[in-house]
Amino acid sequence: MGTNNRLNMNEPFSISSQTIEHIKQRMPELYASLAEPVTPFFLNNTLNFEEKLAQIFVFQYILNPVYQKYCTALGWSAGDYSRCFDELPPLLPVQAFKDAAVWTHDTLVGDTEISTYLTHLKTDAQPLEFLSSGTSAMQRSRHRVLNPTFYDASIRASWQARFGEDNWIIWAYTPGYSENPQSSLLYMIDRLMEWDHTQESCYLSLEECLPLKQLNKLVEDGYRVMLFGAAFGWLDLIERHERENKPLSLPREVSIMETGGMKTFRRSMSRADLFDRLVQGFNCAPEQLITEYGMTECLSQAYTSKGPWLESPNWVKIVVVDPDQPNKVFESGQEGLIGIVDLANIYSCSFMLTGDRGVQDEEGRFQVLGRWEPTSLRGCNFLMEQDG
Amino acid sequence: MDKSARLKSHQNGSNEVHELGTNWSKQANERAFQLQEHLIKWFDDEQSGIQEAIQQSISGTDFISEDIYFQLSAIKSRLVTGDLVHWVDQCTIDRPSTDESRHMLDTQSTDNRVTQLRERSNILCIHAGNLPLVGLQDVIAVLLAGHCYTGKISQKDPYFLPSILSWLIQFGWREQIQYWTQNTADIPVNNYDEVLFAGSESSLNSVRKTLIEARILDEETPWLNRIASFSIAYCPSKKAVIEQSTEFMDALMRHGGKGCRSVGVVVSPVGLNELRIPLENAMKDVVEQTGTLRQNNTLKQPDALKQNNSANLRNAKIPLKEINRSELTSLTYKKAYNIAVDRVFVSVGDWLIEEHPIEYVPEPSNNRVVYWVHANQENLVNLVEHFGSALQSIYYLGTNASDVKRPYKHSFDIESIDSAQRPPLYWKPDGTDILRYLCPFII
Repeated sequence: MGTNNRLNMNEPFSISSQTIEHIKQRMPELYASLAEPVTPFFLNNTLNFEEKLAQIFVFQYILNPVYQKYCTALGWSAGDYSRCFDELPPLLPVQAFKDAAVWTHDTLVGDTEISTYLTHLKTDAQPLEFLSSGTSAMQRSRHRVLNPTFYDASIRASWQARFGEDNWIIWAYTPGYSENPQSSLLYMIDRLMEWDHTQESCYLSLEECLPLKQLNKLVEDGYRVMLFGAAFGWLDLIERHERENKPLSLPREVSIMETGGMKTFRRSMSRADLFDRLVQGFNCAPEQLITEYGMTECLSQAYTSKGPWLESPNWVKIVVVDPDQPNKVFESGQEGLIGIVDLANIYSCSFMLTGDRGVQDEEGRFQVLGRWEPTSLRGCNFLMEQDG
Repeated sequence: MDKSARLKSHQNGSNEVHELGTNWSKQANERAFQLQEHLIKWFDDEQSGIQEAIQQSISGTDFISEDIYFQLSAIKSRLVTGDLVHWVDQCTIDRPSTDESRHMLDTQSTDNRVTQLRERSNILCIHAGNLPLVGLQDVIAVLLAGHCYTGKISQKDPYFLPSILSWLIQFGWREQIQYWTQNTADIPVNNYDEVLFAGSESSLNSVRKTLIEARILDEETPWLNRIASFSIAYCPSKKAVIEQSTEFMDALMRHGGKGCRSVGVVVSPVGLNELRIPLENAMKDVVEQTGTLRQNNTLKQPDALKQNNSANLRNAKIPLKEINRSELTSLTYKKAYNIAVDRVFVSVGDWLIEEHPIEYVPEPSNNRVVYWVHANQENLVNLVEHFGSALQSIYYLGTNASDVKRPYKHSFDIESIDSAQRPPLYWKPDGTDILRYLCPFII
């Protein structure tokens, strides 16, 4: 066992003046996008995905101490710009967002703080900070978003990539954002509502049935409506309608967005069973059900389009990797751990390894199959054998 | 019926129960003597099939030969010590009862208890196979209880139990040993009164569903589910680690950490950094011993079966599997992660001990990763509550079990660290004495 700490966070973290020059010269697009309010770097059209990825890798290696230590321990360095064109940089387990401060830090460049050039890195800046859901007794992921406009841009562009430029009215069957400012999902819903020019978007009461008259009126007036909610929330709503004998029959112009939350303290069901129940309960077509895959640690979202396959926007790359050797990317059709490269995560970490089990098709779409169960399990977990 | 007639009837009933109970105790005692003798013969008799079962298990399962010999030796030593007779003695009906057990008895109707004493139940055992012979305790309990056994044998450990069951049948246990199979679909429909299940919580539902769909069981059949997956050790001092390093490593590393009695979490008022050197040395000893054994091709130790006294077992080497490339890479990533998040860890071979803050100790799942929690005994109590049914046993290092504060809710016995891998045959998986469970009429 060697020393654990290659970089002591308690001591000032500094880089040479050369490094900032290096960033300016080698990565002018990235530097410009961070130093000035122009198009977010991940939406830059002059560079291809790999070029943007390589620039972000170097930037995060230099300024994100957690990611730097991880990469260094795996034999990567700031000089590995070109290597990024041949292989993926190390994917940091998303657990790190629970265990450490996974964001870029203000750093001394010679005698000057880097935040002099990149103002979002200022320590007195007031960034957004999202926490994953859970109680105070639970360890929760913490994602500090140093430049909220990047998140806004990602939400909008992800949405438009999937749903086009049309105006959507958002009805959220969720708690309100103002009461839960730490929720990245509710922040996203809040932004989508803000962009609805009809101002008909709203949070629905969790204690009442859907206002069907109002919904039908919006449809009659030619609007498209997206109902946002967690899976268990929708099940509760269906039960409420059944209890109150108010049958649901959702117009085709209305879509239902399921944002996760499959397993709660009171029920756990397979995705197929959940979808059957939602289609039956809402009395709608399967195409009206859409799944969103997002997480606190990620500023971009993926959505299903047809069937269960999720598609991510073009600044996100999804890979399915060998859980024991996360540097080994599986072919399509093989189950493994889902890895995400999200170029919108500029100030935190763009290279993430989730704890989700998934599979990809040949077109790069993916499905989330549940949580990954390690193979070297403790206890009597060898019991259930596939013996027919 | 007037009060005096009711009292008389109750007394008659109680007398009948007492008489039946005494008979049961006598018969169970005889069964224990016989079973003990027959099982010891299986170990000693060259014609018993044990050698074939060993060879088949060495070549046809994932178990390491020394793990197999260790397990066999540990079981045999407990049989020789007289564990089965002791188990029945512990459960005998004349044993002084506690207030709680008296109350339980009062809540059962006399008729019900008489029926239970008279009837022979059909028990279906669904065996786990993570360690060699891990299902034997259930077989023994069913036979001692006088019930009928049907078993779903694990495909991970398919040779030992069938060998023992075949052997016992030759000695007159045919009436109780009804059937065994490796295939769920082949389990006969037999109006089972009880299912003994050992496995993970996640597999429980699917097993149950399969059996119900195949109409082997109905929804009402009661199950005893044992789902614990790891144990905790309390380490009071650096001195305790140094003095009991052999026992400690055995509890951590024996069977590759796979048993639910293996230690997955250590709670100690001493931080991992302070214990780095003694722990590294102890782990290195185990790893180097394995290397030497492998080099000298002496990893297989058939003589171990003759070493059935506890002193020899205590010194039995802990074999470790060779690390493959994928495991090495996995370990490199785990270490890199610990470095990234500034987590203190000790790593030797493909084993990791990681220090986690008391506030957030995850349930240990990987069998070669142990969590170290820098905390005191109060926190140990909280952790026990936190882990709930996933936790199997609590061990202590040091000389005195009473030094360890008992958790309030669970009826955990605080055990000595050296019993982790060599429990008595009457130990209580998930806190349940299986024999008592199968014979609810025993106080």
